[in-house]
Amino acid sequence: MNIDELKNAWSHYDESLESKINLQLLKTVSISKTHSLTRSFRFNAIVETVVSAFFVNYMAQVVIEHIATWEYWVPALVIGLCSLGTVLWNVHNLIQISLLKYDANIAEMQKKLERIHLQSDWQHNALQYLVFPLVAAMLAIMGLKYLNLDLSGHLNIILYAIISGVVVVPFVIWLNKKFPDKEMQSAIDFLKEIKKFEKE
Amino acid sequence: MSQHPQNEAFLQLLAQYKKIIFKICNAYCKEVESRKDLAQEIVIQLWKSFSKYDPQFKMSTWVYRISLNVAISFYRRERKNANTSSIPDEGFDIADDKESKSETDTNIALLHQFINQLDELHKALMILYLDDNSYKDIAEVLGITETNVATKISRIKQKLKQQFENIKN
Repeated sequence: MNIDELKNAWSHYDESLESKINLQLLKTVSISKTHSLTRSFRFNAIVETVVSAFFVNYMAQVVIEHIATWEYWVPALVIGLCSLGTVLWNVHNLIQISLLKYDANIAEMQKKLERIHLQSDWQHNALQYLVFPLVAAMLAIMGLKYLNLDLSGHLNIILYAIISGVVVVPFVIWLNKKFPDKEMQSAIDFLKEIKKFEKE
Repeated sequence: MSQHPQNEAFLQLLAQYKKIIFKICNAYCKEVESRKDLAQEIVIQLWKSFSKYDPQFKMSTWVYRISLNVAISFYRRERKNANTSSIPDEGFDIADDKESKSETDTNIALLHQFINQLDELHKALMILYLDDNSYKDIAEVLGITETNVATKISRIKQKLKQQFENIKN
């Protein structure tokens, strides 16, 4: 089969569609059944933003209430800043998603979409590593707030955990770049594929 | 979607370009249900973008861009969910005519088999080429240069020739 035969076959297929297509299927779109391609992404980003905004607010209160006890306000500030970073990052991603134009050319649109996915995956991975050292500080702060459990005398361990967390950040970045997870790798590979497709 | 002039215009657009939508769905999804879902997602996206249509582009170019962008994103999402495993390459259409499945056209079957082997970007290129779009239009939809389009098509032709020769042998 050569290219002309191929085109003929396609043309035959095209003609045959005319009588076969069920146009009603297109006309009766069920909004509830369709899943916007970015719906789950938007949903996750909104949930994360709300939860993180709660933490920002909560930690700001802790900082104000315990401004005299640095063992409390410093960890609270770190957690608050991390939460604020998550809020800002998610808002940025949501804006990027809303600016996506499906009528843009394919290379441009797919690159934008894949970059958003990649950034989001990267953010989640980084957070996973950061959350663990911050848990100790979070528990101490929650204990003080709800159980009136003052751990200020033992907070050196908590501070040590936070500092370790901060020190670990460059390593986490390196680790993520070196060993991306499956989804990240897929996004990286597709971006490379698009680049190659544009260049060739 | 009726009564309002914009809705009427949109329904006309669907009727005019339905074949493009169906061909893209058939090329990017193997399962009938996935094809239906994809067709609906394309229609939704076309509808959302309809009021922002830029007349500087040909309507067909605009339809191809949206449909292919949705299809590629859908295909990648479905693949992540591992729903595109080994499904036979038959039943190309999402039409309601069941007789069509028994009308086996070898050439069309081979053609679809070949298209299915291409990656998502080359698949788009191939559909555009087979639909008799000019290199300029193909370049505009894909966001690459006309020279690049020509090079890629020439490579695909070679690959195709080789593949069909292998089948014959």
